[in-house]
Amino acid sequence: MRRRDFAIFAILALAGCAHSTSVVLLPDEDGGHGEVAIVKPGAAGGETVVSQPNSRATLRGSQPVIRPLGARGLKPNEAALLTGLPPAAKSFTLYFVEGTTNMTAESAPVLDAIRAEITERPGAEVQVTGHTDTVGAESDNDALSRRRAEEILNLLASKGFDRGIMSAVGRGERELKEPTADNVGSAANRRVEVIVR
Amino acid sequence: MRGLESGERRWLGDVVTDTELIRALPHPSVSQGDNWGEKWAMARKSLFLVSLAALISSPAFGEIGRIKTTLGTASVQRGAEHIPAATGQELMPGDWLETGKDGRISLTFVDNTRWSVGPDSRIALTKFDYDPTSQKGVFVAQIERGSIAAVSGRITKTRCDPVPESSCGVQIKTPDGDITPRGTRFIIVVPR
Repeated sequence: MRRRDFAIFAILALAGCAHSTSVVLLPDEDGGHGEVAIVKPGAAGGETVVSQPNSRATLRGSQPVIRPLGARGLKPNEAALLTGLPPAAKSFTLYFVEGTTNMTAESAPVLDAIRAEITERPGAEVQVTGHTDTVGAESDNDALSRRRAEEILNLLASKGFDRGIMSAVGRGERELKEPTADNVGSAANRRVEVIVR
Repeated sequence: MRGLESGERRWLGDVVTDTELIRALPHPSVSQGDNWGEKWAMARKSLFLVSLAALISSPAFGEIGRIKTTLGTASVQRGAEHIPAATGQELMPGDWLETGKDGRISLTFVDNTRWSVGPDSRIALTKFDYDPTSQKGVFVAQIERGSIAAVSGRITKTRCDPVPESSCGVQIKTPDGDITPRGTRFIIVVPR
């Protein structure tokens, strides 16, 4: 490479990397991918969409420049950011005896797994959502689903977890796991979902 | 008899609402003295407060997320206050995340969005309205400088038409343009 060319290359590289905003689109953790839309301030031309995963968009000039990450991949500071991401939220399901706030025997080990998960995560938060099947009145099921969620929250609190990190809501028969007609008993729908974040 | 999934049954340990508890209190009667009514009103009030306290197990009102980990110099600016960042710290709309040269913060939002904030960053969580029931909302952030890696949560899964729309989706403002992620994993770097 000639000296002058190298100088131009270096200037472009500096301008592109060090002094303008960049956006890297990555594949999702499950292998799929979304997209990122970029709108330059005062741009009349609307948005530029980055839709290929493993691309880098540099927001310089009037239009963003999009290039594949290529063999060099991420820069060290970008890779460090990815490493620093908190783990994905984890979801658990507990099942209940019909008409009650009593967990089924099979669900007891799941509660242990929830406790282990909370202990493992720094700054853990717990979201408890109660559900019922479609037997009985909707309003009664709202109350029952809330009691189921509160039962689990209380069980966790009794094991020493701070109530300030937990929340409980009841969704009644609004979000069936197994779709059924009204007044149909379903073990799959009598449940509490616990998300540990 | 096949039990009802829900019924009128009430048994010990049932969770009842505040109004149910208050109604269950004995009503004042003349034989209990003149000021019984007043005492009863006080009892109602204190019982209401007690049961209210017992019900508050949910996170702080207005909370949009929490800090999971911090490293080095890192703080949250809320109004004029600079609070050192700490694990478990609650975040509110309008907060600024600030990191020094050696600073890092990782955090999650209530819609399951996850962020990792790099060193030398100054980032505003300008607006965050999320309805957990419909799983829709709007999230506006501003990166003045610094960097984030992010994994989208529920909020960005909402398709907005047209984009961007003020009541829907995610918008991350930078000095060089506005970025709208749609359900994905991405990195933004804003140099000083």
